[in-house]
Amino acid sequence: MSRVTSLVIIGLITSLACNAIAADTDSSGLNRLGERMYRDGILSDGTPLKGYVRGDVEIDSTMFSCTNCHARGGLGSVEGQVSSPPVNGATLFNPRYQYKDQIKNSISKSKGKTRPAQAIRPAYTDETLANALRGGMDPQGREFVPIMPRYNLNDQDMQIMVTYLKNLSSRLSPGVTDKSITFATIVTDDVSTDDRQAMLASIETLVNINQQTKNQKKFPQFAKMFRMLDTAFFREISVKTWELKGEPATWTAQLETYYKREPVFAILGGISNRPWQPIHDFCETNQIPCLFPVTDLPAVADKGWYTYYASKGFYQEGETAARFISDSIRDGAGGKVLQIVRNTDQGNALATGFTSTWNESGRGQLQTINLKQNQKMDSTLFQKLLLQYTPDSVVIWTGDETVATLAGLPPQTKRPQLYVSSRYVGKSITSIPEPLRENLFITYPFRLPEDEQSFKGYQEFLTLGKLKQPDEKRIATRTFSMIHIFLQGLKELRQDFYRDTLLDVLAMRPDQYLPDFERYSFGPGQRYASKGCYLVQLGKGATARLIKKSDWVVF
Amino acid sequence: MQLSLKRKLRFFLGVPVLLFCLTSVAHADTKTYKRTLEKFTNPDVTLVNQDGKRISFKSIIESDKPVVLDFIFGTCTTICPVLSAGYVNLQQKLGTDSTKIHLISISIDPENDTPKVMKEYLKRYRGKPGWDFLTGSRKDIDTIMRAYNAYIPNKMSHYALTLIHKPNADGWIRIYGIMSSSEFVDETKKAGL
Repeated sequence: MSRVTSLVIIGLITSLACNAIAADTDSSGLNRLGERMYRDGILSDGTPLKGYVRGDVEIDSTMFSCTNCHARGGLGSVEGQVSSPPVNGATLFNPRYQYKDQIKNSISKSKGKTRPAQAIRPAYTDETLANALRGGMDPQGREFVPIMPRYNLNDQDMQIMVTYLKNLSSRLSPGVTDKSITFATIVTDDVSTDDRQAMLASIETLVNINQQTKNQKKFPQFAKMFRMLDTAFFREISVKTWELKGEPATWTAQLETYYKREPVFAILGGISNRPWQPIHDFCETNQIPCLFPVTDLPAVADKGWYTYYASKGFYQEGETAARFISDSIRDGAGGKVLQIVRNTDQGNALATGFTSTWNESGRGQLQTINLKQNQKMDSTLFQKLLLQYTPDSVVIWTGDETVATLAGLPPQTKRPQLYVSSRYVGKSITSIPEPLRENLFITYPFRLPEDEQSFKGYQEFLTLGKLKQPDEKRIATRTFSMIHIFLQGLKELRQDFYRDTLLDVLAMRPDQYLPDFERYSFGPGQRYASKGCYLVQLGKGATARLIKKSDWVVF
Repeated sequence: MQLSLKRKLRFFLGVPVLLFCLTSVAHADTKTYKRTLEKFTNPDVTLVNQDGKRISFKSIIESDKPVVLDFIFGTCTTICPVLSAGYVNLQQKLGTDSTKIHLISISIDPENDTPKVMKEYLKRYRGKPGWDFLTGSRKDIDTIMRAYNAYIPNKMSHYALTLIHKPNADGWIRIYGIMSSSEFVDETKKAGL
């Protein structure tokens, strides 16, 4: 091949490559590349973004990336004594003011006025931002704290990153105006009228609480600045009820129709007896936060971002039972486990949690019997399975027939350990015959009743919800807990009404001690707030006491 | 009303602190940590490691290897990633000597940091053998944090702390802040590596 031909071919290849880059640098392609760099630490050529902290500590951004410190929405974070400032476009490419000036400026702007204030940092340009990312200097030449990495970015990747930051949280999310925020809650038609009312009445108190906050700003005790802040932050809240009818397969279309008619900022609470998965998927697709729906059948996934659940529900009970049994196995003894599963949403969720955790623990042998559709357990079948498999432990994920099954067993000198779910078996659990109780372990995913009564916040919740007696189904209390946590998040949002930021600020909340669960705990990327579940045994008598046999969290 | 005012006051007092952090200037060539020598009593508790194995905490601390201890959690935003990057860099710099020192990270979010989460964390950071991530009951974790004067009630308010123990030594080197890689190597050498 002649040298001239080679040069022509090289020229053609270069030209094609440039065109390919140009084609990929349309706004959505560029944004995808920027998002991958910001969230996953991967450069446009697929290699890791690298840099240094504290001078010579090399970091690879596939370990931790921009999103770790500056959060997914780009509004930053505060952890201990380290503050990571906002890096969204609206903040970087505008002068930065002291917080009080920022508030005053916003209020003046809403009145069509401008006011002079000394900026503490001028607006970044593309060049000064590149200097900041590579050399750790702000536009005034001040050096960043050494914990901020100095990144190795070539010009092309720098352009991608700068463009991404320009567009990051640059426009307020749908459902928000200067005066109002619109939310939705979801009720499916399998929910009883009483349960529906318990959830909706609790949601209604949110609107009332918000109204009270608005009125408080008139009180003279508030300093001028506090009143000003309330004015700047305050939005009227309205919560629409999205009713879903028919089979879950049709829910997505119904949700899309509601959303098209009126976009909402977030979905607050909600209730269904069916698996939450279709609603979870809708929220992921449309990037809508969904906060603490009342469901015991949540989607259990490592990658979900938009739905925050109180717990993993039945799945979590199965998970806990598996850890408890696995931990009790010593030197391989007692490791023969039989799992019996009724083919219902609840039974399958319990079994999925148990099996996946058991497979991770790697101890003992597990045999699972899946009952057929509409098949129920009885004493004869149970006895037959015991004789066939001779297990050390039997995990019984059957429903309300469990008590009758166990009560009908012939007296035996030696029984395996039995494990059941308190919620799946239901109220009849306390009528388990006393001779069986010694061998029976029950998953119980809430604070124990005697502890709940002495829990000081409980009475407050009952009063707030105008409830005369404890809420046995925990619908009102779980919804109030959602409101409590949501209002904290809303306050932290200030004027940054971005959906990702709402989830970011909730993730940074300290532990919350509320009714039902021992603790709601949070953390970036964590989506199941209550991580625990007790294993309990029944005491003696008809109104048997629950006796703790495990810690709240079992490893 | 009283409570609400207090909350608002706390919020306003927080603003200048935050602004100071946002605008503070630091120099990379100066030391950004404080080093002290301290005496602690090693607590006798049982923890769980990234493989789900139960470990006697006291026995691994009182071994014949130098021990480095820090407090992190799997979904931490800012401080833990930098501390963990320090561990990784130290292991790389030590090369084949990296197993002569025991790096230990104690979870301060034990409810979320299950063995599975901890194992994935170590894998993400490419931690080598010799770095263990330990979790346990909240009570036991609190006991450890108190024993080393590192107690924090809320994981989001934690700070960068590294403790280094020389085998059979009476005390600990307490490092408050972030070390550079070379400083970290120097400190471990002082602990007998």
